[in-house]
Amino acid sequence: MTAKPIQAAQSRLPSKQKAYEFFSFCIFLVQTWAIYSLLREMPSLLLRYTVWDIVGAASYTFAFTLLESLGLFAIFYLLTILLPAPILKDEFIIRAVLIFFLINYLAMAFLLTTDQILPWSAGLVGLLGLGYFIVKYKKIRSTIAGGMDRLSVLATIYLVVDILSVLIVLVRNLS
Amino acid sequence: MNRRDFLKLMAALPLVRLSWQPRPVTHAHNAAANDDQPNFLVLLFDALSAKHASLYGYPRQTTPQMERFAQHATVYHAHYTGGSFTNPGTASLLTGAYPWTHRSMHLYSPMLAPQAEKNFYHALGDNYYGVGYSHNLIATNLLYQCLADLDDLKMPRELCLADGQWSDKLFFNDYDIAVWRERNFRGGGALSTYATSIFYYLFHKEQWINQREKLEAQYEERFPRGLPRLNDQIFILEDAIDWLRDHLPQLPQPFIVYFHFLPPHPPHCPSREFVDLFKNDGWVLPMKPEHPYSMDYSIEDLRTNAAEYDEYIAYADAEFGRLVDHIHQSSLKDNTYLLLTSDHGEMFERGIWGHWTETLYEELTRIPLLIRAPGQQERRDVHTPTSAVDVLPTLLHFAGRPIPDWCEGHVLPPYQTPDETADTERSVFVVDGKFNAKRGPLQIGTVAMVKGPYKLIHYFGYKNIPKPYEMYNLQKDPEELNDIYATSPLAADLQEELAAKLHRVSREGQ
Repeated sequence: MTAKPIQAAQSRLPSKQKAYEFFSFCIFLVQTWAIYSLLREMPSLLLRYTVWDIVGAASYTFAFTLLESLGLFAIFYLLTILLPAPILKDEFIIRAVLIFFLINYLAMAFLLTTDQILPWSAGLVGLLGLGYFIVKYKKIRSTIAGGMDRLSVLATIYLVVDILSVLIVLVRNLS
Repeated sequence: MNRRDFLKLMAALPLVRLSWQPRPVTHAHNAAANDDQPNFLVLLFDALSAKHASLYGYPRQTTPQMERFAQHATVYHAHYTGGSFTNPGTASLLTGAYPWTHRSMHLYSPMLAPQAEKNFYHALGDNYYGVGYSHNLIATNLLYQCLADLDDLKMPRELCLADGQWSDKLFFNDYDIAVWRERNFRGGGALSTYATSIFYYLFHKEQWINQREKLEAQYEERFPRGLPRLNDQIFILEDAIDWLRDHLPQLPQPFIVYFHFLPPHPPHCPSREFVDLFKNDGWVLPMKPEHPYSMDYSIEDLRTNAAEYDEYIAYADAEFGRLVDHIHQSSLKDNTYLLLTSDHGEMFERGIWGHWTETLYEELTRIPLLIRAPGQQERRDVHTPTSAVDVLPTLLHFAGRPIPDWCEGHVLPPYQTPDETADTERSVFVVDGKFNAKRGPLQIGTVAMVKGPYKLIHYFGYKNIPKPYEMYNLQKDPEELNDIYATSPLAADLQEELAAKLHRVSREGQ
């Protein structure tokens, strides 16, 4: 009796390939921001820490962002089960990327500034307009899907760095 | 190894975590009690400037309890911090070394490992039961470096209403790095404008604001300007004072207890009875000339901030008095040295507010020090310049321990034995080296040298330094308004001494 709902849920999930491509997108966006922030902070880290501590500091940052990426990915992945297929599961990559990018944009708006409403609102309107064109034109959608495919190669490098970071965090805490 | 094997191995990683036990915060006290040795209670109020204490002549009655305490204590009138903010100031107190030696010169910066081992807990020995606590995460980090010598390192949350932290639970063996990464991840690190996370930041901020608003609503009647806080720690001073009151008599003796309270460090949030205590009291901060490193605060802003700071001091002072009264009624008064001090002062002059500055004027560098010896009945006043680095050797002296060679401080007057006679003409230093590398010679910074009544301030390595040297006669000119560097015949000698000292410490730093 329990097999049916599980099978039904599984049938609603996107393919592993699509899921990995979307995860690559998550990790790419989240980690690029983390690297940018870390580089901004690097001069002060260089002043106050030894090399091993700087490696440790970077490792914590990457390990945390890996968790954040996994968490975000998991939310989207589970949403495909909960939402009707036409909303997210069909053309999962395009829709998930669009929604994620939109949420990311809003999050960045909160993070960077809360008092410059006009330029951020204009950006949001532009983004929604872009989303409309993407949803409407198949050629743009296939271009984005191709881009995601390539992005997954780059994100694999990030993933390797993240796993190394988790290992460094473990070593620092076990030693 | 194939992919499946690798995944199995990764799946086994949680077992490693299960088998690993973090170092305990509370150690077993491993030595028999020694009745001959005194206890030490070192109380530090963060950012408490001696220039704002009525104990030292400030016109506002900010410290009536300290004045009362001083009637049976030794009062140091020319006591200086080692550095101008929490890291260097606290590390100098803990290690008896100047910032050029311990190298905790930057915000959030640990001490060099060999120096961290030379802390006062370690120097007093294993038979002392060591307790450390701070509301300020920076000081908690420094105490964490002394963990091997501490019997009980209390984490901030133990005496906070909220602290919003999780890194100390997950990464206790690497706490001093992990804690700041956690802060930068969720946002709010002073050196990093942006959080390194995009989403968790929002989640945390929302959760944090809710928690803070709930607490502030709960305590609004008592703390109308908001609850005392820094970073994500929200607390009330009374809780830490109560902990000391309740637990000190139960600690194994002899003990050394170091409590680092945040007030009067900003934000200034006194309890209701101290709010507006000095508003419109008719006294105003003296006007001083704008400094080239001014932060452009207007004199009105500085006066308003100073009044609120003074109110916060009065609040901290009242709590100090409450604790002292309790100790006085207990048997601890007969075998406990009580020290009151600070890690640095606070500036409200020359367009500068706070303690993140390249200048080293008296408001920032001169801090209180009061020591009450067991059974002390009379007040003693010491006007010789002394330094935070002198506290460690003085504690060792009280405990009958030899003063180690590595200590840069001296036993404080009037406690020296004939062998340890104080050099009344010795120089004490305040070092701001926050823009230097962790190791190597000091290439940029400000150093103040106080010798007798004279104070020489040297700025070096900065671009566009208006005057590399300033000199004041603090006896005649306590407000440091009349720079005598160009006219004093002593300037050359002081400059030569300071240059030689900087040369020597830079060579040792290499």
